Amino acid sequence: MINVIAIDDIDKLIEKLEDIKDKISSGGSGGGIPDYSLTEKKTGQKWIDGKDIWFRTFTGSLDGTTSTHITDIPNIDTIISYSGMIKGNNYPIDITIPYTDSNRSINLNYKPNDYLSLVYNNSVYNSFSDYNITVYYTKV
Amino acid sequence: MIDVKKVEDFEKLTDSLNSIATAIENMPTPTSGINYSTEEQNTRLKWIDGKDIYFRTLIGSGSSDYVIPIDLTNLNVINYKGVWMSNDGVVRGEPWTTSGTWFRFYIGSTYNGVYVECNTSNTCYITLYYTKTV
Repeated sequence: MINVIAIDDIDKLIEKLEDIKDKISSGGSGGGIPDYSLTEKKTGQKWIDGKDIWFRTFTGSLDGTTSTHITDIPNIDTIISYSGMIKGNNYPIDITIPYTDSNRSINLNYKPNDYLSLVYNNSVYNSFSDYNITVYYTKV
Repeated sequence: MIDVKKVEDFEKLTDSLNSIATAIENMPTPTSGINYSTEEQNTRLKWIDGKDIYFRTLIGSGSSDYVIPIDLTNLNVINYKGVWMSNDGVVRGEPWTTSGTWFRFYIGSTYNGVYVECNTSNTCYITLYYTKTV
């Protein structure tokens, strides 16, 4: 009987194919980037420590006078970057997150294993409401 | 005699190949090779609501507050990024706020354009990312 392929080889092949599937699904670091989503996705890139970079978009409205907590968060190891935007509420301008001027400021805080929060001052709370923020991170 | 272990392995192999085929079918369109332009471009990415995301770079210049006109009527701006060229020859990020100098963008439906709040002579580049409401 001719042994065409060893069982160990098949296992390795399956492992490689699963890696290929993951890379294709995430878009791959040299090509496409996945669409924005309210659920987390791999970017297809790796961080400087070799870990996969994930991203997820959060949306909502400011619900406190100085901070708004986002508690449904992934198991974050390192936050790599973020950016977002907040719309004026009966106010004629929209601004990016983070933002600072002499009267207004809004930024993002992260308490490990607990929450992300938008932190801002009263001037922001009085004038802005609906936000979107996209966070890029690695996972524990 | 049939080698059961080998049959199981080949079934796994088939499953993997099928999952790759599915992943290829759902593969996003490559976004590399799309250049910045003062004309509207499609990023080939979709926003969280499934709509196409477009982008466009605007150029402004002035020494005090001014508006870079753009019709925002049917646009939902989801983000923007920009830099400005200070008259001391330094490229700076936005928003910029110090005690004596400021440079900030606002997306303003009232102005139907990008309101540039500044107190210094400059040229600026702002790239808007947006979806279309109609």
